[in-house]
Amino acid sequence: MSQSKQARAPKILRRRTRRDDLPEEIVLEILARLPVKSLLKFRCVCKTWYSYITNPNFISTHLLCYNNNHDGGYVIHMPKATFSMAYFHLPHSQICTLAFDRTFETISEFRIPFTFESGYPSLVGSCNGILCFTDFIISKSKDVYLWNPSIRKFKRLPDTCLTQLRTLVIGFGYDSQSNDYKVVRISQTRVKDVLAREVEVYSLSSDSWKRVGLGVSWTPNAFSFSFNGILAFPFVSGHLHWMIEMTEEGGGQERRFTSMILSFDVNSEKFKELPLPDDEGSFIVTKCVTSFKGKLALIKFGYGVQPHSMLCSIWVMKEYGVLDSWNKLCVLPVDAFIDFTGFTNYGILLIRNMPRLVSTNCELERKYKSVLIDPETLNENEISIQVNYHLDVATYMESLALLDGANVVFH
Amino acid sequence: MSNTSENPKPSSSSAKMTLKTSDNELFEVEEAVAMKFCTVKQYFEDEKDSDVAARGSTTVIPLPNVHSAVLATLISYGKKLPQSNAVADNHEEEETKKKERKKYEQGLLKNLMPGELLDLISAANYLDFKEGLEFFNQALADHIQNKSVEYVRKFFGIKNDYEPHEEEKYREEYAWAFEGVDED
Repeated sequence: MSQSKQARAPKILRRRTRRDDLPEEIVLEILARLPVKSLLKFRCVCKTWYSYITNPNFISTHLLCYNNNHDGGYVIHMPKATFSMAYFHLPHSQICTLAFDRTFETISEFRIPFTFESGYPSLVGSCNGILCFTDFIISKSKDVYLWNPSIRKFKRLPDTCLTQLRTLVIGFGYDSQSNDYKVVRISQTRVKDVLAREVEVYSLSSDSWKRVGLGVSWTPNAFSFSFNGILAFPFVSGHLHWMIEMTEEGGGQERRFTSMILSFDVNSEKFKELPLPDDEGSFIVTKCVTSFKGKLALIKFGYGVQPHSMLCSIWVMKEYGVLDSWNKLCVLPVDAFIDFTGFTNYGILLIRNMPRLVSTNCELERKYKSVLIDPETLNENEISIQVNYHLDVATYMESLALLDGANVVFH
Repeated sequence: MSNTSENPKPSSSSAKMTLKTSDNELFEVEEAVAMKFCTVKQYFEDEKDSDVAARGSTTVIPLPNVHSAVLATLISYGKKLPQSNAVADNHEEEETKKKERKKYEQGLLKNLMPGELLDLISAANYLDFKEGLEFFNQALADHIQNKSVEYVRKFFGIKNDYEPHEEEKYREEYAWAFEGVDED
């Protein structure tokens, strides 16, 4: 009886396999588990392996497989350029630190391989292991760089296609539908009383900028983008987001202040408005958008019932685009003047508390305490490193993105 | 000479199946473990459909592509996996089991020759043993991670089809990636 079954049961019927009979899908699965350093090396094994490793589908598979394979992930952080830093001409170290994202324990440090005219790099965003930087002092230089630190390659973007670039807002995202990386820049210039807004989009696959329309139809006279120190251009659900505060000059002395979230779909390259959750009426000092565990989040700072108690409420948009799905995650009481750095991939928030004067050896020292807070459990963990400055934090992933391409530079 | 597995625990399914390897060794395996080999599972389900009387232990399932030493390891690994029909453990029990499994896995890998990994992967692929395949693929990836290009070619039996100057170009491009290579 068993003889007649033999033809049906085994899916891959072959003799005892020799080494070179290992099927392609198995080889790919093994390769997908290797760090990029090994993959760069093994491109030399043979031409077949070269084509496996450089194939865009493999690059995407590897990105997911390798980076999900470990307990906990990694972050890259660097000192954040600030206006006071620039004002006092304090030098920026140009050093990035690689650390574990659960504890911020340092793994290694390396230099940013390109420089900006002002000397102050500004992190725009990170996608799939690629970091995007621009000059913090926009008036000095409009250079934009894409950098993949895991393969030590960076690229300077070509110059703008717009006539003028002022009051820049910028964002960096990944278009999964066309496997392309894009950078968006919005420029707003005011000539006399006329406001001109222009938008351009860069696509890595075409290695060029092109104009797109803003398209959002509303007629306030002015709007400004608010930056609150947190990476304020979150990339969520294929869209980039910016918080916009608008003033509308009504009749007489009236001025209406409204806010909204401007979203940009990286695939269709269209802008839209996203609704904010209803204000509870508490006095809101400031707010900004960010991302929390892959969802759009809103952080509002305001005063609570007691006049000197500052509260921070964190809202999450559970279902992208749906107003009703704004959900208040938690409310944290905060000391004044704390620095929220942002959420890591696992939804942990890094906060740097106001420096406390501590007496050590008869001298007063400023000690900064940095904690990681889990907004869902409100657990706090102090991190081991001493951070005396604001931080830009980005997720670090091992990725082969940016491997080939025009004008890509090794370092 | 047949090679029987341990007596099954009274709580789990006591149905057993017999697997016959390429070198004609017989392995008696609990159904729960054997079902993790999807190829076997498919065979068994086909069997069930056709002849109700001839179930489990009376049928010998032939595995002409798997050697006994390899099957023994795969069965041993399969037994250590959380059983799908097991009673749910509380958190503590789960953690202890996890630690035990990690220790077992480390011991297993220590005693394996690298060449055996390839046989285990081939067999796990043939048997459609998902967890085993993941585990041994990862083990192989960890093994070759820091090895030289020459080692990898020899290991997989791959012929170098590059011209020397082409290969040199790629090596120069990412010289830093070639640093820190293990001794073969």
